[in-house]
Amino acid sequence: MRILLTAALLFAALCRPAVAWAVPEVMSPAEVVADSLLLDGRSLTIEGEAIGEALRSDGGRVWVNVLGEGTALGTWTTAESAGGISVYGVYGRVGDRVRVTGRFNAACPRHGGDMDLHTDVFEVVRRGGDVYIPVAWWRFGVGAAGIALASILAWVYRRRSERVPE
Amino acid sequence: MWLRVDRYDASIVVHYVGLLVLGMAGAMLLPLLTAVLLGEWAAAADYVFGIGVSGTLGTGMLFAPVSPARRVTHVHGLLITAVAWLAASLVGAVPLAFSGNYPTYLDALFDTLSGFTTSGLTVVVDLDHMSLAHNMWRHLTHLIGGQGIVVAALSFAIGLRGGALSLYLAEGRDERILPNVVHTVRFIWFVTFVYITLGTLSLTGVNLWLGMDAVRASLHAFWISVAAYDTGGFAPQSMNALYYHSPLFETVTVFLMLAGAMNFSLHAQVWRGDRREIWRNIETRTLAFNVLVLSLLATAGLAAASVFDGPAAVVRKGVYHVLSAHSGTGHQTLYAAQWTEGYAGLAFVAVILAMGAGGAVSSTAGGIKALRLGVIARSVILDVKESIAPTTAVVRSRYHHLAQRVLTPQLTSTAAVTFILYTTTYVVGALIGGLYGYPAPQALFESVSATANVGLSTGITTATMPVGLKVLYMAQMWAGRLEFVAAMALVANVLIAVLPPYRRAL
Repeated sequence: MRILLTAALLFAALCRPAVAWAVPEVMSPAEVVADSLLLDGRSLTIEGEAIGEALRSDGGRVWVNVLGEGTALGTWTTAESAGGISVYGVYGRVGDRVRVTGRFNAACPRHGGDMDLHTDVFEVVRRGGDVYIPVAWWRFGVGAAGIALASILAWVYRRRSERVPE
Repeated sequence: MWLRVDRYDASIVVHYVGLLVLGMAGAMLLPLLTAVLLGEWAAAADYVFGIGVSGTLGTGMLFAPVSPARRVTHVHGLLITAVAWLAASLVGAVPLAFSGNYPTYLDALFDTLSGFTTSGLTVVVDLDHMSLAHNMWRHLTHLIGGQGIVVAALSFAIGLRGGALSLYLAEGRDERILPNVVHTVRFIWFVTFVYITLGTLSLTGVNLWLGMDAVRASLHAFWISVAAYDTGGFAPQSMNALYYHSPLFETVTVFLMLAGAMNFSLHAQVWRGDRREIWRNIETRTLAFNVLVLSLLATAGLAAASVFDGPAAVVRKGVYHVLSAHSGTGHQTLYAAQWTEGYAGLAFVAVILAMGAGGAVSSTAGGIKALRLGVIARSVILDVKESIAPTTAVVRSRYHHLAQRVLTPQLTSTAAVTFILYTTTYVVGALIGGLYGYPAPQALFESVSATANVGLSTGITTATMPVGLKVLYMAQMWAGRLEFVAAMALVANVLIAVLPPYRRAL
């Protein structure tokens, strides 16, 4: 009985890739990367933050890298669609949140085996904007005091060194 | 018989490490300037604080008395080097710890040590929103560490009254290019300056064509040039080299990685006009052979994964990652998850072997090094020849490395010992990774990556990994970068200091 159960479990594990897998309605880039082999060649929708900038690509299109849950994925989209993005995520800015639908490639034959998403539908779902980053002024104070102390110590050290005969 | 390090010896170590810590304060001026110019005032505060802390510590340590009459010995050199790398990392991590991209100081320390050792493993969080000033510092750690922290200090001839050679050799440098050590390190900086300038100009052009604005284009170009030439592997975006989606970009980085993996002495020979040295040198031959074989294996492995359509993509991915691994760079255009998801076969093994082998001696690369592998291979051939030769025959083996040399038992022994130390560390690190519950292949991959100062990852190395594993990888990066000798000298001296006399017969 135990042998039969083990065999059944092994068979189920081996058959896992063949089991039909429903693609969630909207996924994060991190989820897509984690299941890249299962999702290869399928149409799916990802949602995340547009980061950096739009980068020129072939076919008159651009790359928009979309970040979600700590992982970014390149989406190959039209320059017109990318033109709708007003803010890209960089230091001090949260980029526009975009929803991108298209064909996912675990290893794109057109783009040298890169993992990417060839876009059919590209929409901005939420505008990004500036992020307030507070300045810890006390660090300026402590740092300046440290620099002053280091300067005094350096001056004392030099005076002492000059008195020691070579 | 162990030489006991006395209080005066410790004083010498503290004094010279203090000078190096002071140098760190000076190096932080560049990210501070970046922050001020770009109006990143929160980051500017972090660097003013960092300069204050390192400046105070460094100048304080200068007061440790040193006598002009006593030179820096070989043992001092080993200890100063081993401690300097740790001290530089400890103070270098201070501004990064305030950046908001590291949950704890230990995480900032991990990245700083990884940067200095040109490993490139990272536990950074939300890298895509990191300030340009902090990114500048992360990549500067590659630039300082790539040439060697002590080498960087020596290039300014920091108040050393003799002992420069001891310090130079203690940092894992096997060869002097010029008779004078200070001239040698200045030459190393000159070569570095030329390659990084060429790389920055090329990549700036590529980035501008891609559509980046002038500031980001030039900064990214400089950082990636530093990371590729110094075989570090950090990048300003979480996608690493994949962010740019550009074959041209990858091509430039390949040239920089190869240049960084080459021996500085070889660069000198070629610059003097002796281009034949490239083809005759045992290191370049070994590297070429390894890269060719491992690229074929990696390509075959990726092709077997049935994910790629057509050979072009397979070759591009396979060769890029073998070169990145072999040079010890760690730039990647694959996701960490892909190594375990779909490519955990022959390509995975090929990349582990490439990482373990490493680049050339006296280069910015890590790993066992091509010269040692070449020597070991030659000695195996010599043993076979001796075993089948007549008993009266005298069998010798010659090889070319900057000059014709005869293979001696001592050379073979030194190469074999280093090989054993590296492979043992690779395996021990993998076993400990396994104890933490990670699968053996991933644990081995990460352990080799840390010890050989590569930086490729299967996803184990994150801010959420166990603290013990962070400390282990930090120790592996540090020991691997110093090729174990300086690290072991420090550990031995600490043990001698703390063990009672009757237990010191190590």
